[in-house]
Amino acid sequence: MFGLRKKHPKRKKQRRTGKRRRKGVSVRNRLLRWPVLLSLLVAGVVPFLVYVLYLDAQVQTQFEGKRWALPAHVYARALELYPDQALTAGQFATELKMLGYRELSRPQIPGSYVRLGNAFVLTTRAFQFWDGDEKSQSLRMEFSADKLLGIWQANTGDSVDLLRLDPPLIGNIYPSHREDRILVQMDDVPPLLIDALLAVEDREYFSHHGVSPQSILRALWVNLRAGKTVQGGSTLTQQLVKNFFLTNERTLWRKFNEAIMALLLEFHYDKNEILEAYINEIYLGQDGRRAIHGFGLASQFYFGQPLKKLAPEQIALLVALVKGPSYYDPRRRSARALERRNLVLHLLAEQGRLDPEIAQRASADASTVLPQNSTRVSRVPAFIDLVRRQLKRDYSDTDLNSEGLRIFTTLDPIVQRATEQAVSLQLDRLQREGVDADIQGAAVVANVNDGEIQAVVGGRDPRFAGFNRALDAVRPIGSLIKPAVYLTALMHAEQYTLASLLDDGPLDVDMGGGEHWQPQNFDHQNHGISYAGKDHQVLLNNALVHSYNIATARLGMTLGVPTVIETLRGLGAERPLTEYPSLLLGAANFSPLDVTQMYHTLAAGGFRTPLRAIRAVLTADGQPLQRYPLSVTRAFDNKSVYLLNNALRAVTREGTGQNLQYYLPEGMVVAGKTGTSDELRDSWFAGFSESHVAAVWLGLDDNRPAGLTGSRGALRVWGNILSRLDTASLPVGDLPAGIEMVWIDRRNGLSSDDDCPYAVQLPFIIDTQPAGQSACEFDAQNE
Amino acid sequence: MIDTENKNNVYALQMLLALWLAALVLTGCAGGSVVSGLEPASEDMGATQDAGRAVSTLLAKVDTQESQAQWERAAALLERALRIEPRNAELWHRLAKVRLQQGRYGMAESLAQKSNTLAKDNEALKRRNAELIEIARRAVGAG
Repeated sequence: MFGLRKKHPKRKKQRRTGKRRRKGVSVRNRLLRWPVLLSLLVAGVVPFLVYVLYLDAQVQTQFEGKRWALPAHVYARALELYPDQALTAGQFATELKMLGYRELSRPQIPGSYVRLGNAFVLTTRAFQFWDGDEKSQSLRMEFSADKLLGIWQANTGDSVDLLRLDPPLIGNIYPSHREDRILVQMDDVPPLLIDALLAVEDREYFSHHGVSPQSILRALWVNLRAGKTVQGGSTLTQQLVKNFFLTNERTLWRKFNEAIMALLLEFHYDKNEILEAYINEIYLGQDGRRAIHGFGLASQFYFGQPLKKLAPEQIALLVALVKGPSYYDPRRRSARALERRNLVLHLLAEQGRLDPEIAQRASADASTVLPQNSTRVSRVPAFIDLVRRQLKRDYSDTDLNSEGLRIFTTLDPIVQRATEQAVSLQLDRLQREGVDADIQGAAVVANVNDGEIQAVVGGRDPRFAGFNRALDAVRPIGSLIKPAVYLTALMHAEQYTLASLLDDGPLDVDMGGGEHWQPQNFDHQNHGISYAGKDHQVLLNNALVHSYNIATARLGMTLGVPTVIETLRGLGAERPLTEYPSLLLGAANFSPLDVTQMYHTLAAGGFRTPLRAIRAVLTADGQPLQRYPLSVTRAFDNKSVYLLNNALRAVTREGTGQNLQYYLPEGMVVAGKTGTSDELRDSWFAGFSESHVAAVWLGLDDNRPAGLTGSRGALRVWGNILSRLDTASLPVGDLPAGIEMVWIDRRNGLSSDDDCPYAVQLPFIIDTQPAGQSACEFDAQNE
Repeated sequence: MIDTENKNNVYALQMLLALWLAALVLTGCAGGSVVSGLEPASEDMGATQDAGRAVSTLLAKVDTQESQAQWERAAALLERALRIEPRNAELWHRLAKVRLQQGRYGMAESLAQKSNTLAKDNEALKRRNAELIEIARRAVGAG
């Protein structure tokens, strides 16, 4: 039944149609002989038979198709635990709460813990991962202020080197009806559960043919005497039919359909199959918008345990719920639920299905169920949206919402929370400072080392599943594009170094047809000094650090727009790009996710890794189905990228990104770039530390100017995100092979002594440092 | 489609891979080290000793999976190890080896290059990366 793997719906369909046709004929033959239908036979055989055949088709399709429709479950990364890990006791406690671990004084059942200051004792849950199973273990853990000191087996005291918690559930991909269930097979069903169902709901189950005239008469008699409906005469089969196909309306026509379909169901399938379907289908509760179906999931939902492990009083309580999960809700109406549970226990004892003594003891048990949040799902709609899109390339909708796939994603709830908080906090602040109240924002954070997407925020309200700006706000990126221009130059190491001089003087590009492109700097000045008879000479390094438009445009025109586009492709840009010169200054539209991808390639030293949101997919029964592996392609020489990144680091110290120092912890070294589109419509910041790469966009959905530069808007959010993460500072003074540092006179780009007042130290690929030596004597004229 | 010369190349490549595999198994057995490679085990010890206990635990599992030719599981375990120690050049090299085993030569080469950028002054590892890249390139040329 879990056999269906990837897209091949054909096989299933063919099988089903064949069966329907074959059985349909014999149904007709059998039904004709049934005495209960004789009167209808007289009234009109043909229309009735057609109708029965119609119902029969419905019964078979539904029974074989719908009953196994399981939503896909989407999990965040599982938290790895190992000694010396950077993890605080607070973060660990948050993780346990998110997983619904219960705080117990003696935490011996899986999924329970006790905290004593910075120490924890807990019993983990078993879980199946792609690369193997994680056993349930009882452990002791100790934290210092900033890390996990050690892990020990609770019983033996042996130290543990590594383990994983079960992963937090972050979403379910439902069929349209939002039903959820954990399928159980008859072997996993405690016999007492079946006994209780029969005792309470349908005593003659194993002897009737789907409809029980005795039960109906008995119910009629009881109801007549009571003057109201107190007892139902429906068999389990009829109840199943009702759950499967029919609405809740109480009409004779529905009763009639229900009876016919029950008869048809009994005709096609044996009692155990029907009972198994009943146990998996019946509605037993509501968890927000999620409908709890079947005893397997109900057992987890109410008791946090598998069905097999339930005590008699727990089984009785679940059976009590069949009559009305809302009316007998054990969380809101515990007295009522306990009363009915005891009725179930009483009936079991009365009918000799349970030892009266056990029934007595079970009835005395007043303990009920888990608090509601035990199966809470964290809401990260923007990330789930991304997961869905990546999955849709490989799976059909039906597979996704009915095969019960287990999807293991890369989301890191700790990073996600930090990102959400930073976006909300900074947008609120900007609004208080007078920025348009409709200001929106989006952010993506990924792991530099393996390209795993750790957080996605699609808007100011991270719980709102609407327009996902992280993926769909495709906007001009302004100066964020400049690193691509400079990387294109630096790859020609024999021609360009960080000390090359660029011309920032007025530029006029004849576009033909009388049109001219005349880019301006943000401050409408031309920068640089006169040197060797040329005005406005700036160091290539400084042109990027201060984001000079004209110098960049001129450099890009020299390199050629198509060459720069090639670099963008190498960085991972996939959207269509137009070969206009204005592309060089950011007239190119990208989403925050696209930008994260491009800056990831820089952060990873020129190695391109397609960003991933999914690690692996398992089938409902834990079989590995598909893995999304780490993929690495060397796109650029790491030495050229090192030079560029060095300039991007200077951006955050002395350039357009220098305000970051107000948001980051002291001593934290990062690299990044601001971006602002025309008329201040879009405010961008993208950058990276040693371990995290992130992109932030701020703007208005209707594309009106938000009045924010990258530096005043997105930079603040970015800085705030990074300050909340446990992130590694970029290493300083750790030169890769083939790179050397050289003192340069920043006025002329020549080598200089380190005591020259204009000297700056810049990295060079070995053998590319300037040949000339600066005299270091003339005064700055107009810098 | 394959002419004689190409066929010879393929055979040569197969021989090379077989020899390399044998070397891998031998060093693995002889040294008893969790790191196996083209170089004698003694030269490999540094990187392993640098690995933390969590990563060593995973590398032991990687060995098991590799011995059963469960390459994708080995890769998954190595990715896990890399999440714990992302700048451990040895782990990138091991992943490159797994990809080479699977015949994913381009990926193997890139991963070995990535390992090189993190190898610092571990000359032995750099040599092994260079050899791996050489094998991968020849394989691409022969295929």
